[in-house]
Amino acid sequence: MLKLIHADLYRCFHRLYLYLLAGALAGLCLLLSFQFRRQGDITAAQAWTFALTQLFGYPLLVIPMLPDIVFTEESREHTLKNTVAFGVSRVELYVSKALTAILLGLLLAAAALAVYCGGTLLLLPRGPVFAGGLAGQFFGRFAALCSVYVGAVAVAALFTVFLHRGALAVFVYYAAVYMSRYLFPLLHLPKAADYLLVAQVRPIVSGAPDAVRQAVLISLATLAAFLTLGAACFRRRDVA
Amino acid sequence: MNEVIVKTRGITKKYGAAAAVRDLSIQVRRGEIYALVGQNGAGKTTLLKLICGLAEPTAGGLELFGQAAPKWLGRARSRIGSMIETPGFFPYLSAGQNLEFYRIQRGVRGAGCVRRALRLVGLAGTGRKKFRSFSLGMKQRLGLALAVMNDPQILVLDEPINGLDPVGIREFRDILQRLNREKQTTVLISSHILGELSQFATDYGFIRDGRLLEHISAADLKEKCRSCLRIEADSAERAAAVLREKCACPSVEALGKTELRVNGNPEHPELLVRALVENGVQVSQVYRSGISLEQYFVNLIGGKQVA
Repeated sequence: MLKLIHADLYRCFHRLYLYLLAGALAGLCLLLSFQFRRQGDITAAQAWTFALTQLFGYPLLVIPMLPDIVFTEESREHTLKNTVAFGVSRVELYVSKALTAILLGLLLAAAALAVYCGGTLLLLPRGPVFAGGLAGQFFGRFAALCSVYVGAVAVAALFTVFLHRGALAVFVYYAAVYMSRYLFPLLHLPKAADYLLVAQVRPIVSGAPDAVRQAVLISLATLAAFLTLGAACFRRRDVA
Repeated sequence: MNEVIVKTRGITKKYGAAAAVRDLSIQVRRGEIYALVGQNGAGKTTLLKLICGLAEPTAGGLELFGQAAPKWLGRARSRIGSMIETPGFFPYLSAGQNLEFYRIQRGVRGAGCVRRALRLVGLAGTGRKKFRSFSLGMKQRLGLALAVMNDPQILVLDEPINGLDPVGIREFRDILQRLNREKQTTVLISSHILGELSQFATDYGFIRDGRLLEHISAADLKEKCRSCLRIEADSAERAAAVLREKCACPSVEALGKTELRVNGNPEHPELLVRALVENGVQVSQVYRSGISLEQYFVNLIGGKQVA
């Protein structure tokens, strides 16, 4: 498994796309810092609070790009057959690819977060960033939010493998993550929307510890369920 | 030479209602160069995919290196080098980087195997040139480099010489023969270029509509194709009847109204001619001729008897 992840990371780090994506995310974070600076009356502490309450839901929009890098490209370039023909277990291959996508996501998130935090600290007056537990709360809740992000990677990976085509998989991912909450009431399942990944962001960024714990558990359960489904789906698929 | 490396037992692969491979059984033994011959859509690629684990059989069984259990098949496949359909590589990586990716993935220690494989296929000088800029022939060579990188015990190659120029084809053949000779690497190869296959294959499996029509060794095939006697007479039908009745020639085949073929390379054609003349058949030409692998294959799929 580690060899597969190592090889995938080797490939991804030789790809310009990853650096462009990281650069774009970092650029957006920096742009935001400059925008706060232009407004004049915002401190770094306020910028961090803003990020915590308003921005941490947005990474869910970027997540379909990660399985696209890891899975879709292999389908498009017909490279999976080289791995499968060597006797690598398909379950192991699928899980390793999902973990690679998660690792890449976490790396990108860490890079974007570092630029945002660094940018706001350098460009804005600090304010009480390190007072009153803001920094601890900021990073603690971000760590909890990572469970939502990794759950979303597993969802996107399943659609990528199941639908073969990257664009269609992204579309279905957005529909599943953002639109299904409107579907559940029609199916007389109004409570089901509470278990969607997108619904876990709010309790984590502003909820009580119990709500955070429950949201993390739901996200990890989603991760496990979609990883299992994806591996089962991938196991039966013919490789071209 | 006796160990069976690949064995399929009544293997079948269906896509919906259509069967690409039906109840097909083959055996490939260590050291053989086994050529799969068949028309487009005959099931060659599907069979190779089943062997390499790229597709799951609908029915039947597969043994690799004597192992049939699914969990052991995976391990056995790590001893196979394969190139199925067009070679697939990452377009933004160079030849060396592409092989390095698979070296890491397969846990092979040291980068020496990458250099050796590139040198073997003549791609050592491509440097940082990206795979996307490679010609079809270079892509095929890289596919072969990946297949041989791990010192496999068997190479499974699907149409590997497509896109290669004549020099490339010769080099490719030399590489396969050298691996077969020096490392006893078994080769299972499919190709449409029958003239090329006939230069190095030791065994042939002829496939049509997903079924194995015939398995024959190169020596037996050579004997079958070696020679026949062709006779042109005023009536091929009458001449054939005379040869069967008077000369006890069991394998006589009329090829048209005036031409017939006597298979089995008769040693005394003059006796046959005399018998024909004595029985009122006018003979205008007698000559020896052989048939090519291509002709043999065409005859086989056309349902004609060759021997």
